[in-house]
Amino acid sequence: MIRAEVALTKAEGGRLAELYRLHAPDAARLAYLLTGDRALAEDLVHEAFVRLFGRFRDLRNPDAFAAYLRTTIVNTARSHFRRRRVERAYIERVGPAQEAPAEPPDPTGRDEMWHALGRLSPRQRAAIVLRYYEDLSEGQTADVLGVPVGTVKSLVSRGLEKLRRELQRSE
Amino acid sequence: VEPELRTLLREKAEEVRLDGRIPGPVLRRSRRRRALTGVLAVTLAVGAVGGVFVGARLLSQETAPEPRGARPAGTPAGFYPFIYPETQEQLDATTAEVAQGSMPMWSDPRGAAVIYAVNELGWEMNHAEVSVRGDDPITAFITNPVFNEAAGAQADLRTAVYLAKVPGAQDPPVYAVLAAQAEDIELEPAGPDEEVGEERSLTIGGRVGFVPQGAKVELTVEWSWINDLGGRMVERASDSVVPDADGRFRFAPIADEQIGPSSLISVALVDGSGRTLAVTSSRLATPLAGQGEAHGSAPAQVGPPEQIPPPVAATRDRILDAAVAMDWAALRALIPERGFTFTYGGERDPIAYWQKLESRGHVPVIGDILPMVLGTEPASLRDTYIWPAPAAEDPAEWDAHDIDVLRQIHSEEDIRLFQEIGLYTGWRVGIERDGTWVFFVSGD
Repeated sequence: MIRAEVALTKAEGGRLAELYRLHAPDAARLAYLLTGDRALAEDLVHEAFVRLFGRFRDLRNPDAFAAYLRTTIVNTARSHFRRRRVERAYIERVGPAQEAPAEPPDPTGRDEMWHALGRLSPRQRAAIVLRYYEDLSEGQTADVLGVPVGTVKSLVSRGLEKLRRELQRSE
Repeated sequence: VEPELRTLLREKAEEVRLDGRIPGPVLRRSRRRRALTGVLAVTLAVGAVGGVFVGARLLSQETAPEPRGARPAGTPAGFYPFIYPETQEQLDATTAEVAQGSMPMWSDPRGAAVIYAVNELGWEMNHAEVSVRGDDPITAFITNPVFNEAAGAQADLRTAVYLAKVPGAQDPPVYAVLAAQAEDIELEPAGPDEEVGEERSLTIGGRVGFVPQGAKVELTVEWSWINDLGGRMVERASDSVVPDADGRFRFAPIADEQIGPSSLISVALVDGSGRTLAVTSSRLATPLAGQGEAHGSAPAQVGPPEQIPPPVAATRDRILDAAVAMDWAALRALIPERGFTFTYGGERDPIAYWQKLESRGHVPVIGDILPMVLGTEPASLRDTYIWPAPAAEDPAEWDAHDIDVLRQIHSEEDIRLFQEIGLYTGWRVGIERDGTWVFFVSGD
C-alpha cells in the first residue's frame, strides 16, 4: 500500500500558526485599507493564507513571506472588486431579481477623506495605500500591482487629484 | 493632502485588531488544500492513460444527483471538474456568497454564461448574446455579434457553454461551467482527451469552419503538480497557429509527464485584433464530444453481478479463471495492447510486473488479490464497471455496506487510511461495457 504523505504535519501546522501570528494582523490592516470593510478584510486575509500556505515551500525566497502575502492580499482584493463590478453590471442589465446586500457603512463615518478614498477606483486606492501606508517605492508598488511604473505614477497622481477635488467639494 | 493621507491611513489601520491565533477553519482549509494537492500530484502524474483516466473522464457526472458511482477508482476526492469558476476555492466562495443572497447571476444559467464570457473570453457584457436550452444540465449558447460582424462572419459564431448545478447548492442553485465547445472548432479525432498518449504527449489539431482575415487559433494547456518539496507548481503552455485555407490547424505536441485528467485545455479562435470569437475548453477528463457526452445520463448503479452485461461478465470470468490458475498466457491475451493501466511506476509489461511481485512472495497479486477484488460487488460509471464498488465513491460517503465490501479485501487500518486521505487507493479492476479490461491497479 502506498501511503500518500499528504497530511499537514504538526510541524507544518505550527509553522502556519506562527506565520499567521506574525503576519496576519498587518495583512488585515492592509486589507481593510484596500476595501474599507473589516469583515471582508478578515476574509481576504484568511483566503490569502490558505492560498499562500499551499505554495509556501515553493516560494523562491521563504523569508519574503510578508511580501508574498502583501501581493496576495492585493490580488485577492482586486479579484473581489472585479467580481463585484461584473455583478453590478449584470444586475443593471437584467434588473435586480435579488438585491445584493449593501456594503456595511463605515462605522466611524468621521472622515471625509476616508469616504473620498472609498470612492477611488480599486487600483487607485491600492496604489495610494501601497505608497502612503506601506511606504513602498513606485517600483515596488508596480511589482505588487503587476503594472509598469508609469501606471503607478498615473494611478497615484489621479487618485490624489480626485481626493483633493472631493475634499474641496465637501468643504 | 499627502501628510493627512498618511496619518489617516495609519489611524484607520490601527482600528483593525486581528486575533493572532489562526482560526480553526483556516487551518482546516489549509490541511484540505495540502491533502488535495498532495493527492492530485500523484494522480495527475499517472492518470493520463488507462482505467484511471477513463474513470476520470466521467467525473463530470459528479454533478448528477446519483448517489453512487460519482467518482471512479483512482481519482482524487477533490478532483475539480469545472472550468469556471476556475478552482474549488473560488467555487466555494461563490457558493457561499450566493447563499447569502449576493451574486444572483450565478443562480441563473444565463448569468453564469455571461460572466464566463466576460471574464474568460474578454467580451463586453453588453455584447454577449445568450440563449439557453435544457433544464439540468443546461447548454447556454453564447455569441458576440459585434465581434462576429467585425470579423466578417456571415453567421453567428457560437460557443456552447455546458453548465451544471453545483452539488449541495440548491436554494438558490449555483451553476458552474463544465466545458465550452465552439461550434466552429472541430478537434480531431473526438476531443483533446483522446490525444494523450503514454508519453504524456498532447497533440491537438482540428479545423475551424470560418477563418476571419488574420485569424489565429490559440491553444492553452495548464497543468499542475507537486514538486519535491511538496509545493504546488502550475505550468502553462500556449501556442498559436494560422489555419490553412481549409481551416485546418495542428499545434506542435506538448509533452509533460504531469499532463493528466485535471489539465485544462482551451482552443480559441481569435481574430486579427486578438479578440476571442469562440472557444473550446475543458478539463482533460471532461468529455467534450458534444451534448451526448456533456449531457450524459447519471451513472447507473449496478447491484448483483448477474446484472452485469454479458461481455463484462465474460471478461471477468476469463480473468478469474486465468488468475486462479496463474495462467500468464491467458491473462496476457486479455490485456489490450494500449490503454491498460497496471502500475504507476513506469513499467512496460504488466505480466512481467505481476510476475515480479508474485516472485517476491509477499504480494500475491494475481493468485489471491485479483480473485478477491473480482469477488466483490461492482459499480458502474457509465461504460466502465469497477470492482470493488466503493472504489467508485468518495470515502466520505461510504456506508456500512461499503465498509463490509472493503473488509473482504482490506484491513481496518487500510480502510481508515482511505477515509483519512479521502481516496481509495487499493486494488481495483475496471472492465468496459464491451468487455475490454482497462485496469487492474493499486496506489495513486
